[in-house]
Amino acid sequence: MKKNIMMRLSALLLVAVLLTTCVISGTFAKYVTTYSAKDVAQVAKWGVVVETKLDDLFETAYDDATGTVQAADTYNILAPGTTDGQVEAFKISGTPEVAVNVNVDVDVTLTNWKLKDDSVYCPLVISVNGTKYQIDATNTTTAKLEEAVEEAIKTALGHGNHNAKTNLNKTVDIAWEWPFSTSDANDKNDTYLGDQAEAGNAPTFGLDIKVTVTQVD
Amino acid sequence: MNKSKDNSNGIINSSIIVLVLLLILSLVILFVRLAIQLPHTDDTFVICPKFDTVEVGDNKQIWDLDTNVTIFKTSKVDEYGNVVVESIHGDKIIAPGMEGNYRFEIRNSSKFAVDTKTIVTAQLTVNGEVLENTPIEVRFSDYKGENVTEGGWVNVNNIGEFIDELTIGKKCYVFFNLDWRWVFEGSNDELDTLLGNLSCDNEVEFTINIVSSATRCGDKNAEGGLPLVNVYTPSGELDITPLIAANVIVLFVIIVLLIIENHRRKNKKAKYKIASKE
Repeated sequence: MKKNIMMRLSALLLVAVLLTTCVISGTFAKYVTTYSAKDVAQVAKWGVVVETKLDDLFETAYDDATGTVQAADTYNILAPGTTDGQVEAFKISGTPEVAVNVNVDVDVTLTNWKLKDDSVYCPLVISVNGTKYQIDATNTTTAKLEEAVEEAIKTALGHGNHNAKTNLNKTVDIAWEWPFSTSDANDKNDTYLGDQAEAGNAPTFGLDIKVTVTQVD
Repeated sequence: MNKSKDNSNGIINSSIIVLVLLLILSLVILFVRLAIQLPHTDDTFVICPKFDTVEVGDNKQIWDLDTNVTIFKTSKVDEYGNVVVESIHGDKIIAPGMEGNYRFEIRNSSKFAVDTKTIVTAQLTVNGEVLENTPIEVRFSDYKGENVTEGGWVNVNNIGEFIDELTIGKKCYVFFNLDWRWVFEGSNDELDTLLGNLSCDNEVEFTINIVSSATRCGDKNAEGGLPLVNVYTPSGELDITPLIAANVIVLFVIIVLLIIENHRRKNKKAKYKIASKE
């Protein structure tokens, strides 16, 4: 009896071991290894804004101490005693996360500012961010005066290359003035220029500013 | 007679002991093997990760589940040392003119060939929503230099997911190169600027996900990949195959012994019957 029980137990254990061996073999076929990886990058910020109020630099009429100066037509005019200006004539803002090139293209034109003997007479005083530029010992010609004003505006707006994360916030205030009756000689010269304007050779003051901000590689 | 009785009892008892030991050992191995199949996460109890003989990784780390890897950088410096791209908050960043490469390997140090499947997804999203118009391109190639992405560089608009299936032989490895770029010249400047401005007030992100899975190949001697130079066998690794072979041999021996024992008893009974008749 005891032997029968032992034989049966042996047979039972035999079956159990066979079964577990089969199941172990089966688990190999289902073995799967999975791995994953990821990375995330933010798109670099741009956010550069360029604004201008340059259209408000000249007027068709001015009120000054002598009365009112009024253009005969719808064009902007200059006259002795007139003055105007614009705060934040140009404004750049933003802190891009990329390097940039700020290209300030300025064209200052002063034409027909000369007397009968072809000598230069330009009584205008142009100020850029409070610094005044006029014909003097440094700027002896209108060409030099134009260049000086152009460079001043470029510097004020940060013309050139800038590294990433540079705060580009820059503004330029531009103003001009034609002083009234500074001397008898200048009064005569001012009158001459006025006569030239009547004859169709009016002296002019032009200002053209274009600002482009571009990412550099 | 008593001596032969003792011998037969001894054989059966020994057989039972051996079978019990084999059964316990098999059950332990089965339990471990089933536990390893559970997902490997920080919240799951892993009995022994050393059983994973297929590894995926780059030159800095071995992957796990959802591993953070370095595909992107936080800045770009030009040849003159000028910082031309940099994140204000130190985040990884992408911009026109940037490009990068990520190389990863799948290493099979087991004694069996494995079938692998690698899936790469690349997406540009704005506040989590996929943007369908993106300027970014990717190129995915395998260890043979063959492009998984047709034609080489492809825009992520066209294909958001790339799949490659390879067989890696035993003690072999394969590697992949994932290249990405945002072209500076000749791309859509308006789109680039739009994305840059969007990024000021929104989460505009470019995400790359890579999932690699490996299963035992039907043909354990299948070939594929490059041979591993230094095969690392972690200490404690248990090779199950000899154990199964030993199980089978021992079982065979026990079966033979039991058959012999049974035959001997039958002969004894026959002798008793003859003796009693006499």
